[in-house]
Amino acid sequence: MSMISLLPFVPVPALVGFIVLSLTPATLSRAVVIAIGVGAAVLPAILFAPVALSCLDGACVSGAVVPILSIDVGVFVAQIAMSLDPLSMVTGGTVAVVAAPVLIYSGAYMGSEPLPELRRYFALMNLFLAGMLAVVFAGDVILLFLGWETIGLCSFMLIAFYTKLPKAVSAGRKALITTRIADTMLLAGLMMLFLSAGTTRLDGMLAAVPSIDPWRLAPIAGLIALGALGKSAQFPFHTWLPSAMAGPTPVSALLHSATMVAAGVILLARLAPLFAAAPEISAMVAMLGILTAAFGALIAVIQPDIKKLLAFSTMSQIGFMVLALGLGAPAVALAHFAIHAAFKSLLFLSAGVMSHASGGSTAIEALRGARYRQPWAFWSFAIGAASLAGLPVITAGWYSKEAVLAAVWSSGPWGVPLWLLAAIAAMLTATYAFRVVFIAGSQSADLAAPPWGGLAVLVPLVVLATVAVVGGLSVGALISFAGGPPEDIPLLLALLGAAAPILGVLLARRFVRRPRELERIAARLRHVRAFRIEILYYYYFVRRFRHVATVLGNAEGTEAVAQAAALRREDIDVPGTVADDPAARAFGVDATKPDFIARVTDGQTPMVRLVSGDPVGRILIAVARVFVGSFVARFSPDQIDRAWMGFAGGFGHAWAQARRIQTGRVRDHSLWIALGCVGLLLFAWGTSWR
Amino acid sequence: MTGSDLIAMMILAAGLFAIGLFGVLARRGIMFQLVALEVALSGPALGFVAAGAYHADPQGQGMFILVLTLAAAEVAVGLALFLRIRRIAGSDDSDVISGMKG
Repeated sequence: MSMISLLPFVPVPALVGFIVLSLTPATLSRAVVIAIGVGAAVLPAILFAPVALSCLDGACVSGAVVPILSIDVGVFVAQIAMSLDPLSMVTGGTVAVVAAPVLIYSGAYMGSEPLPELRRYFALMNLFLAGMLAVVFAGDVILLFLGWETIGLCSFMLIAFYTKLPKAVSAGRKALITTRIADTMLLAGLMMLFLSAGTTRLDGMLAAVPSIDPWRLAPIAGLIALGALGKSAQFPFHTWLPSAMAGPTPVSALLHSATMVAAGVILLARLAPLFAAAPEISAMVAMLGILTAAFGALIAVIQPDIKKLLAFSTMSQIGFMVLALGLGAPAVALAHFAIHAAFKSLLFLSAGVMSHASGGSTAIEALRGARYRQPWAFWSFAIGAASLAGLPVITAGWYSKEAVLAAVWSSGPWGVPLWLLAAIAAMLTATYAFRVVFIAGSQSADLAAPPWGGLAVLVPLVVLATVAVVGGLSVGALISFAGGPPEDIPLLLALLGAAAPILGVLLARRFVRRPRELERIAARLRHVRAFRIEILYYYYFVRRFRHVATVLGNAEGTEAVAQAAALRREDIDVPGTVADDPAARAFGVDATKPDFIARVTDGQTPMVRLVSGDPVGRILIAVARVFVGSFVARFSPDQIDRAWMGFAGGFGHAWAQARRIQTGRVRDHSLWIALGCVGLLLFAWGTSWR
Repeated sequence: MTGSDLIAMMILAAGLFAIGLFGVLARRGIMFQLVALEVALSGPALGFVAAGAYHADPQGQGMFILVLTLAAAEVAVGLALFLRIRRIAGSDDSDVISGMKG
């Protein structure tokens, strides 16, 4: 049992690594920074090993927890605890085991960055890992939410790691805002659940689920599900994930495999009894899951960029997990999570090596000939792709995906159509995965690329490739360990499932031979309305956030916006809120027409111009303008901030006046002493009055 | 000693103290300020004696002795300071020594 008490210390080395790297003022040399950063990520895996071993001995049963501390606040007791059940063991093990190779790899990948950047990188990666470990081990919602927000913040800072690149910064902002919307829903859901259950411990909350009214349970489950889906980049929150590729490759490898996007899956799996009690929410989760799985696979097929392709592939694979969760098979989802984490980080790391050798370009076409330039990177990518595609029998991905498909088949009346959709998605998965493999494996004229690598690159690739192949043997054990029923798949179904990836590979071969067909499909898909959800996001959330940030960020926020609008009226393109977004340029042409609407909405945002066509929209705009003019304007330029600044500045003036009292003259001193005595006497007289 | 006598004595003591305080605040010559301080000290001393006489308590006169010794010590230190200041500043104006000005 004593090994079990190590569990709360598993995330600690990563946290210590963050503190040492970010908060200590000592100047550290490059080697020390890398050693601390990598060591702090490897130590959790080492600490976790004895815990996992004693867990396999039977120490962890479903619902076991290690209490850390409890805070008594009157009637409420906030309990902080870590769970010690199969779920946290599987997910925690995956996170620890995947993070260690990724950090070792990034020691080589980021080695040439300037020292302060390197230090920032490792500090953030360690905090990221600590937050994720807190999420997977959390036995209470407080620790869970703290870890949840930590990974959200870290993902923002890591995606926007190259702060000089506007693309990276805006990608980070997008990820932050999108996940923040989802996090708000999650927080609301968790609070409602807390109010209903009266405890912060997850096991206590799940025990209280049967006694919660159904009409109350549905919004709770819905809010938590949306929060989890936002973190997992599922439709309709999927937009942040592809642009998150702006960060360094190891960040993508960690973000896409074991951390961040997996957090939503883990949360859904942990709260599975809650969703089992709310079947309509589960159905919604399953629908969004299959939608994202199919959709992501379809878009990945037409991607010209390897990192983008892998991003959509992550979306699609997480969609499979969410589908399994929605259909009430959390153990299957977890098995797929563990296998996916291994092969997805393998894909990212080997793709990073290959694109490094292809002149730093991430375009798939640039990888042509990688098989001859970087043979081992290519073959490890091929192994990862085979596992992603789920080639029958030999890869781990086949076993876990087959388990998902079987769970879909046996899920009830909707099982068959859902299974068909999932099988098509699986076929497309093989297509996009092998399109890259075929292109990278083909001949190329340019073979004179400098080899790049070393032990720090080779070891992680070999470890992960081994897991991606051999891991398949453990899928059945994983599922039964995580509490899932043993699935006996009908032979016909297994054969059909096996046919899907093979068909997909054949399709990939055809697309590579005849790139024209793919281009035609890509051109047709570009007009699908659903793809424009990104623009709507921009309008409703990102732009608004930026506007608020501009107004609050500097004292002249509104003036700056008005000035930009005035400049824009004179046809001068100003960087800023309106001219920045793509649709504004499209609508900007209409503003030159001098009709009534144009005059009323002159200098307004394109959305306002768009809406002002009909009478209801015009009323809305009028109301909004009055509201802004009478109420919002009072707060900008930020009066509250100015008041505080004046208050703080006033102290300086007060002290300048106060020093004049000190004349240094004996007579004045005597006067103050006398006045003080009089004051004391008056006080004594006043208080002793009867 | 009746109550009205005590009140008269107390008014006299308060007057003495006020005169002394006024002298300290108004005069600039250090010598005169020391003299005014003596006058101010005699006010509370008279108050002690009067109160002691009214309550028929010898402690009032004991306090008077204490005040006298206090005044003597104060004058000794004050005169020494006065001599030092005259030598350093070359003046007996207390406003000249304003090194503590803020």
